[in-house]
Amino acid sequence: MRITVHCLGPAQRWFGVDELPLELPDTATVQTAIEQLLTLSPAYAETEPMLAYALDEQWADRRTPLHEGAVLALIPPISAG
Amino acid sequence: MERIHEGPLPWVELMASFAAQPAEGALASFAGLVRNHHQGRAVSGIRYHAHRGLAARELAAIESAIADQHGVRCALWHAVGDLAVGDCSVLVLVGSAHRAAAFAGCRDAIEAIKARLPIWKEERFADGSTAFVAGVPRAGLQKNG
Repeated sequence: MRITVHCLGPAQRWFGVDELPLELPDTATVQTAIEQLLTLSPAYAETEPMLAYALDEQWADRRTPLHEGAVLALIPPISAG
Repeated sequence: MERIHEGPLPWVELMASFAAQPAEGALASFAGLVRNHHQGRAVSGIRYHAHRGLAARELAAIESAIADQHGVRCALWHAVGDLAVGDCSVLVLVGSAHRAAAFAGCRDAIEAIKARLPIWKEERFADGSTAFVAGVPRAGLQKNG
């Protein structure tokens, strides 16, 4: 399947883009995407344990299954206010 | 006005529109403003980035929770985009019959915003450089979940 990763806030700098396409197996979960992303950015790998994730505008956990065309948003540590 | 607003919040107008109800004897507010310094560096402005859909839903959920927990009226807004020093970035308004609930609801609302809202500050410094503010993991994050 093909998904789009939405790089928010500082994640834009880690990957150098706002959006990133990923090609994943049909059985992929959020964790599968994380494992592929870890190979692309040392800065992401360093911060990853502190990230949250959203799938198609809903909060997701690492076991959430992905689907063709899904949009996975990376939610780095937040600084609202 | 949308809870997630492009540009500085018109906080005076928003406070006026939240006009006190006859049964309310207290209106508590918190306005977050862009300051001109951070950790010893001169700041000229902040760009606010957001997951707009989730941020708007989180604000709505916080409003409801504060209203239920404290028995108050609550309205919340957060700015996105480019703000200058002195601009209003976040506004909490709480109306209540008495001051104790208004103050408590106001405090709990801004703390929930800072713990839960998927928004990121990118500071612009006087020398022209920019940097994201070091954030905190979102409240409720399940590392192995």
